[in-house]
Amino acid sequence: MICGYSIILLSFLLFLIGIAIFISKKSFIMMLVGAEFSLNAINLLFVFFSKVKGNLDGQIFVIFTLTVAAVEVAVGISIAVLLYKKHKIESRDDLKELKG
Amino acid sequence: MIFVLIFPLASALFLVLFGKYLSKKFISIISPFSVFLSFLTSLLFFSKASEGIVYNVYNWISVGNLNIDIALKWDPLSSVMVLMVTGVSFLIHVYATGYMHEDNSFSRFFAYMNLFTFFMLVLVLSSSIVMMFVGWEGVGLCSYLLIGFWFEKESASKAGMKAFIVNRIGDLGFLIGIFWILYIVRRANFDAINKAAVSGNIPLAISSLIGVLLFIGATGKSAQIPLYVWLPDAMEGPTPVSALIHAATMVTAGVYMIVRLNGLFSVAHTASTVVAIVGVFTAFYAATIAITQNDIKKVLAYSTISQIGYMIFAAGIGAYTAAIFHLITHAFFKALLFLGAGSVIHAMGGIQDMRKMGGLKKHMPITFWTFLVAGLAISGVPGFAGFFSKDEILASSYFTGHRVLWFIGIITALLTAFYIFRLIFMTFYGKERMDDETKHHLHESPKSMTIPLIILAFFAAVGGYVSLPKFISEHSIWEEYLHKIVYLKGEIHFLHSVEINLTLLSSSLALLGILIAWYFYVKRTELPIVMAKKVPFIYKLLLNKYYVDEIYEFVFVNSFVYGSEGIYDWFDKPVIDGAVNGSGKLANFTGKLLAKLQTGNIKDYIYSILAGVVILLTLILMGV
Repeated sequence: MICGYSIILLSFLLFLIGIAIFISKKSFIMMLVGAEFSLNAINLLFVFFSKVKGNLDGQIFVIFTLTVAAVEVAVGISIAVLLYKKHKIESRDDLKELKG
Repeated sequence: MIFVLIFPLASALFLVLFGKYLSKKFISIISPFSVFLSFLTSLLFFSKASEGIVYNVYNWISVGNLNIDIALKWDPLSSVMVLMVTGVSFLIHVYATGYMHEDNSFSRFFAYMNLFTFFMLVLVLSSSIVMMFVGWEGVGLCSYLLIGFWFEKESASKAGMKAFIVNRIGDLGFLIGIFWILYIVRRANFDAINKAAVSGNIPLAISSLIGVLLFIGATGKSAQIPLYVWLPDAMEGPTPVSALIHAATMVTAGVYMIVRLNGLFSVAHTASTVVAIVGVFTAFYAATIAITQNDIKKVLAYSTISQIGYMIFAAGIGAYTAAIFHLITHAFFKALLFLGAGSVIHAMGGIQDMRKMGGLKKHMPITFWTFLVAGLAISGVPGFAGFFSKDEILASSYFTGHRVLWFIGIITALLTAFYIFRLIFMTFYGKERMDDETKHHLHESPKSMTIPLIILAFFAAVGGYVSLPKFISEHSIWEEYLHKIVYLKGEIHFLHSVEINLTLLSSSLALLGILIAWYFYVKRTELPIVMAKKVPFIYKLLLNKYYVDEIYEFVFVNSFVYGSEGIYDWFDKPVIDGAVNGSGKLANFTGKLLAKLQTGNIKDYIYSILAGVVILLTLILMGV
């Protein structure tokens, strides 16, 4: 049995890495990768707690999260691709259309 | 019993929905026929009325301990009223099929007329004051619709609005009275209210106040001082409407209401004194105006106000059976007068000015003779219906000790005879003052119009014999029948020897009035003008109806208009508009401020989300 803390720590680290990528990268694709990182960090935590508690709630939740994440990525990537195709935009800093 | 109500309503709905596709002939059959069916139904049930039955239809309102049923009260009072309403309404429907024949909105007219009949029946059949109010408002609505029937004419639609608004003032009083009754008695049906009043469960001061409030409603609907101003203008409507609504049925609703609540009113002395005084003054006042009017329908309108004044007066002094008696006889002879006037107007091609008439006797004999019968009845010439009912009111007032009011009443009787025969002499006698073309077109009205006239004339002639004067017969069928609905039974002692003299006095005054009218308008036709010149002030005052319309215009309408304009300038513009525009400006301003947050730079959003998460997490971890 791996020590519980180490799993939580791993998950936390993965989450932070994800956030860091999300913040620092300028390309939309990389930002989405960062977001996936953080999501899966949380999924890991869910699975772990599911095992600790001995029921399947957490694992079911993970399935849901994965589904939603798949949809999210599909939408996100298509937006990114379209932005590049139509406007030649690949960096988030070029997108300032919504300034109030 | 409910069928009495259903027939006219069904016909009204049918005409509203399919009236466009029906031929005039078909409409003029089903519309009067539905009313006739109601009449037959009520005749069928007539024998049950003397016991007083309540037909429960539906539990309408049930809140807390307040229960209001939709129920029909079938007792002597309502049965008499229903027979009168359906009977007169039927005759007028038949008459209207002839009178309105040229009109394009034939089906609309009969739909409204049937609807009116329905609401009037609701009013008289209701067993509770709340349901009565429904009928009360319903007839008001139909009155509005029918006065403004020829809405292309500006004066007609204005008259309709005037009637509606003036009635609204009265209805406010009525409504407050109803609420007060419901608050104190906790029951809405008339029986409970009357019994509570008679047994003293309502404090005397409050019952008087309630009585006055209800009477304000009656002054609106029954056209008494000070709210009578709408009725003369209401003559803009078609003449059958004037006959049905503004003479025979709706305007007597106030009298009916007071008689219905006779328990309350006979306990509340102050209220009934107010009722009696207002009634007799209205009778006198309207009669003086009627003397000078030249429009044939206006004379009859003021005459109606005056006669309803008599009924209200009778109700005020506690002669309830006499009030209803006069109500019924008045319904016959006044409907007849209006229908006769309608027949004259029909023949004259729409001219209503009596100065342009004259000598119509030989052109329209049936109209003349029936009109004469009605004239004799309203003047109180012995033997005709009005004589019995008016004398009973006057005698009752004399023997209950209201000598001053009695004196005004008997002077009014003289005036009544004078103005009605002035009308007859100006219209049917003398030189033919119309132009040649109108004269050429003069004709007696069709049978559908003259037959109702003859039937009504029959009732106007003999309708009074159900209640003979006391010195002839102690027992009157009428009084014995209606006596059951009176709660506080105070006997009025009639001294026979005095009563004979009173009767002689009033009949001789009636004859005197006719004689003066004859002298002025047949014998020496130049006299009225001389008289008018001799007392120009009084003549002008009467001709202009005491300038009451102008005074009301000045005091109420203008003050309202100018007051509203002032408020518009000093309150609406700065305060209301300021508040509305100000809130708009505020939203605009804050929007501009907050828009600065929206940089469009995704990085900023991410950082702010992160900052939010961090702040929240720290707060949670610190255990706040």
